[in-house]
Amino acid sequence: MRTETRSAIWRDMRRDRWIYLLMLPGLLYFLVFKYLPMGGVVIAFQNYHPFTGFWGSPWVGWTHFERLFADPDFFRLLRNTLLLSLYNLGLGFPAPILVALMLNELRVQWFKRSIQTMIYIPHFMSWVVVVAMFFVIFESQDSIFQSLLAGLGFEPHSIMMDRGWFRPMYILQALWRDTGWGTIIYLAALAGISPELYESSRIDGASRLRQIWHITLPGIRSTIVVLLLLRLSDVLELSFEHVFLLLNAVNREVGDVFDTYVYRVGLINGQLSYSTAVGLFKGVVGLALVLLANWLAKKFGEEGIF
Amino acid sequence: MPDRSLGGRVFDAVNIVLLLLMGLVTLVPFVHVIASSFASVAEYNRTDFLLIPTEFSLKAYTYIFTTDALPRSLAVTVMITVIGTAINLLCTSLLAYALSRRRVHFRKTIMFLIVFTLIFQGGLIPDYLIVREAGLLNSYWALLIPRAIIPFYLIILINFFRNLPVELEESARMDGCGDLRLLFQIVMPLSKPALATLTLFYAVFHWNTYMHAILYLTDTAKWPIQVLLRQIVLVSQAGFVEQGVVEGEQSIPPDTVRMAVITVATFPILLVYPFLQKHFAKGILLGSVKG
Amino acid sequence: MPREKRGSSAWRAILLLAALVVAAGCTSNNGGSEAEGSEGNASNPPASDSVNGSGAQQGEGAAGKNVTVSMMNTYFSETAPSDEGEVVRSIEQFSKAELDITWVPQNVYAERLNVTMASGDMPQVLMVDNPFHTSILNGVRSGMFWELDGYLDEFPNLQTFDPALTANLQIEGKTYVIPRPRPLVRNGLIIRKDWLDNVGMELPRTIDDFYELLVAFKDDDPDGNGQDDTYGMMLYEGSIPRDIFSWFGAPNNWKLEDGAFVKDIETAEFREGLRFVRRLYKEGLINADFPVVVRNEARRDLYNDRVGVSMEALDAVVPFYYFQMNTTGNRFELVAGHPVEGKANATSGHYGGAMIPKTSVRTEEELREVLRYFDTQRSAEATEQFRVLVTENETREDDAKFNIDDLKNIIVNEVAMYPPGDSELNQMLRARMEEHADVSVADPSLGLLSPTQIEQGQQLNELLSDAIVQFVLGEIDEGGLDTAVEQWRSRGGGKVAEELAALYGEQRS
Repeated sequence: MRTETRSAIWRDMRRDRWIYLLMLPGLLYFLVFKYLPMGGVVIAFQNYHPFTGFWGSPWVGWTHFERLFADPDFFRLLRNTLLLSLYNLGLGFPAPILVALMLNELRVQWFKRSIQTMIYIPHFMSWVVVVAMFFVIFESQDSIFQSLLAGLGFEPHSIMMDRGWFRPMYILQALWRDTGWGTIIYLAALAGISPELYESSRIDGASRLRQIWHITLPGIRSTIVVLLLLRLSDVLELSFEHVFLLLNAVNREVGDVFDTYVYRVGLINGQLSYSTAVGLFKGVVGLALVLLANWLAKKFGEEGIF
Repeated sequence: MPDRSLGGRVFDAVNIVLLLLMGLVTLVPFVHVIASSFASVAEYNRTDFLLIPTEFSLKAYTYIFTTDALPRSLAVTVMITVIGTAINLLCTSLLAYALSRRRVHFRKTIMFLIVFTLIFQGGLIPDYLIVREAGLLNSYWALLIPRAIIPFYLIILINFFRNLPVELEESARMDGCGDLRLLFQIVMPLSKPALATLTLFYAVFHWNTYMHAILYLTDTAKWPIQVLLRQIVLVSQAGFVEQGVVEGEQSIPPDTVRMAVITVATFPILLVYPFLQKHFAKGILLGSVKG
Repeated sequence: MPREKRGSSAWRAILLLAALVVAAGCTSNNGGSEAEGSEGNASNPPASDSVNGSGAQQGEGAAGKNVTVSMMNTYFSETAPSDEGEVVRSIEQFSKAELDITWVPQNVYAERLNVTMASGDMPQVLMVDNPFHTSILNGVRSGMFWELDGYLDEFPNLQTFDPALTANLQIEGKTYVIPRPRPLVRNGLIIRKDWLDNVGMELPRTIDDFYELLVAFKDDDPDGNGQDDTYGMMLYEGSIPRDIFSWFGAPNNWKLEDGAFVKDIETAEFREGLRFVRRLYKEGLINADFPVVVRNEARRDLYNDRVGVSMEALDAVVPFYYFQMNTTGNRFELVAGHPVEGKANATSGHYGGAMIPKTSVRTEEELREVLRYFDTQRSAEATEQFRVLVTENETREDDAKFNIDDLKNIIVNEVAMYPPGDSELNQMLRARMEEHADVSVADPSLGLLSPTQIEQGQQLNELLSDAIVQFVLGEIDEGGLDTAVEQWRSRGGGKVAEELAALYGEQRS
């Protein structure tokens, strides 16, 4: 029985040999440039030093992981990271879908394209520039925002130094910068929906919202699922530079996340092994989530990724 | 064709207003950057949030173009972007096509292994050692070959390819069409929106090349624009002061210069999307082929 | 020494083959041939071509035949200094050597250093900003760098460094670093001269003077525009110059008391200084946004006649402000203050320096060659040439000047560490900096390598500096400060103190 399947597979593969040949360069690429270097994660179990190398550095087992979990800041980091990730998932993920749907409803092409182009511009500004501009508009004493507050009779208020504002500020900046960029992929998916579907539904007298719900959304559902799965894979990964630039003496309590922690202990203090261990931990969490989500997706009749 | 009902009109009006607002909010800071780059330093310093320069000045631009560093690194970036994106598109399409066909065995396993590389990476040092062993150091290939496929974009393309109707492929195969022809003559032309998206993503990815260039290329003349851009943007930021050591203060350029470099380094890549947009147009896809 | 890259050649071959297959597969449509220079400089370390300059190990007879020194270094200008540029050419000429410099932007230097160490493709000289960085220290401990003590006595000019400075740079009692010297005290008060005159005050000598000055700058309309739009002193990026606390008699970082180490924040004097800063903040004498504002943004207040005092590195910042005034058009005179209460904190007096790896400099002869380069660079003749160069540079138009930071970043000579030249401004700055240096107090922990400090230092420092800012803002009170100190102590601060005391004891015995 088993040999039979095996030979059947073999037969299939010979029949479709061209398609396997097409895969070859890509697979080799992954092998050489992704899997070979992946061996480097072993340094999480070493006291690695570049000079002594992978073979010469002493093995220390789970020491670095124990240190991470025993760190008095661990739960603070986990909480802060998870909360920011939740903001990202809850607001940052659906926002581009919503905007793509809105753009999709525009009938005048030149207008649609202009808006599309305008909202994707911020993605090209580095976080340094974004945060600097945020400061100029909202923080400095003569800024538009502070003048507005004064005009309305309020006391000056610093957003960047307000712990309660840290997460909203973070997500608002992220939305501003990346929502437009995120719509692009959905717009591509929307282009694949047949116009005939809309026409027949219009003949049935369906309202715009109903059309969106019954035709547009199902048309991009698989794209949404795949992107959500991919998003989950690096759920504990936040844009380091962004968070780092927003941190200050007052808000570190709520703003310190794994990435900024790794920067502090790993890069500044040069502990490559420890940073790798933290990265490995984040990866394991991401992997678990992806496996779970992929399984769930299949349960609900989606194809999932694998 | 347009929706003439009252509800439809209200819907359109609200939609247009909201999108216009969004466009405004995203555009204004960009205008600030460009305006500042054309302002005099004095005016920039005086004005809280400059939008229209009254003392028009080209000083920032003449300053950044006094040496050939900027044009040269811009040219390098354009070259990396064009060649790199071409390589990416080809490699990604080949693999994505194969992995999107249901008749391919082990494709789920391979997909999982690819997702795995998204989550676990070896880090800079192993990457560097591989590139070094491959003899690519100090060559532009070091920026192209090790980044021939981005797993994230590969998976997205696979998803797009999967959604193409199966009947097309079947009928083509009936006609004796091989896989290569199927990919290049049917699948790829049908996936123009997806390929346009990927072109943009990959182009932007290469445009932002920074760390790899510094690590793999020792010859500073080969460095792309981002190295120059980040040096100018970051040198005026926190991080240079450590334990009472102050270095490099005298290298901080005026902010208008910073804005000019941002403008020059961003503008070309911003133009890519408008050019690709026509491939996002609806209806070119199925309607035309099915008919 | 055994290294992984020297592993089996079969493995390498497979790798190379695989990479080439991928390359070919990917590029076939571009008509691109194989990688240009694929055998590049990867397999032969740059060290090898330096030997051609040897031949004469003894004496100055070697003059005329220049050696090549390869080096890795950072840069601060927009672009890396050119090989053909004035800075590099002058250094080569004065030091009688050819330089082959691998430039790396400051903010990725650590990463570049790591991959360089991992691959073994070392230059002959590593310019290191902080030799006490874990990764450098571990390198030292595993025998990566030449220990220089046995060789320095052959090079007279390498023995003329300030002994305090050399001591600060020693690692476990041995010399590995040829320092890039810096002034012992760099921070000082920078005050607007015209404002000082307008409010009719002298340079502050005491804390009270200083306070009165800030009040006057806030309330007495020092710019004479009839508006209440000025304040006293500018701070940024959440950092409060520690010199202010020294005025109150607080120690420089640590206080050495009967062989025990007490952290500055644990002393009553430091607390008094903190209360003072909090008062300045409360009374609006310093900018309210100092915990978040970045320096470029903060400095706009100076250019726009909003603030009249700053406490920054005199040598680096004052010339920078004058340079800025040339572009903003708003010119005013700045003057450096005296040490308040006759006190100042000394720094370590260096910006790291040159370290010489054994992987690239394999023999003693090669080492001597590299050392001779540094020795020549510090000779009386070279020093004079440098002096002429930097003095002349000062007199040029802004556009024609080279960036003196680029020069200081490469050489190991004191000649450019103070603002050079005979201009009134630079003479004043030099005089004030020396005045500060004369009264400065050293940090007793310098040169003592506490393992806990090295491993967790950044976290521990941040804990305290956060608490300090929060206290100044009024977010926490003295009790909150105590809690933070307690936390610092239990998380490793206490251990650092113990380790420092033990190391200090060892050093004395």
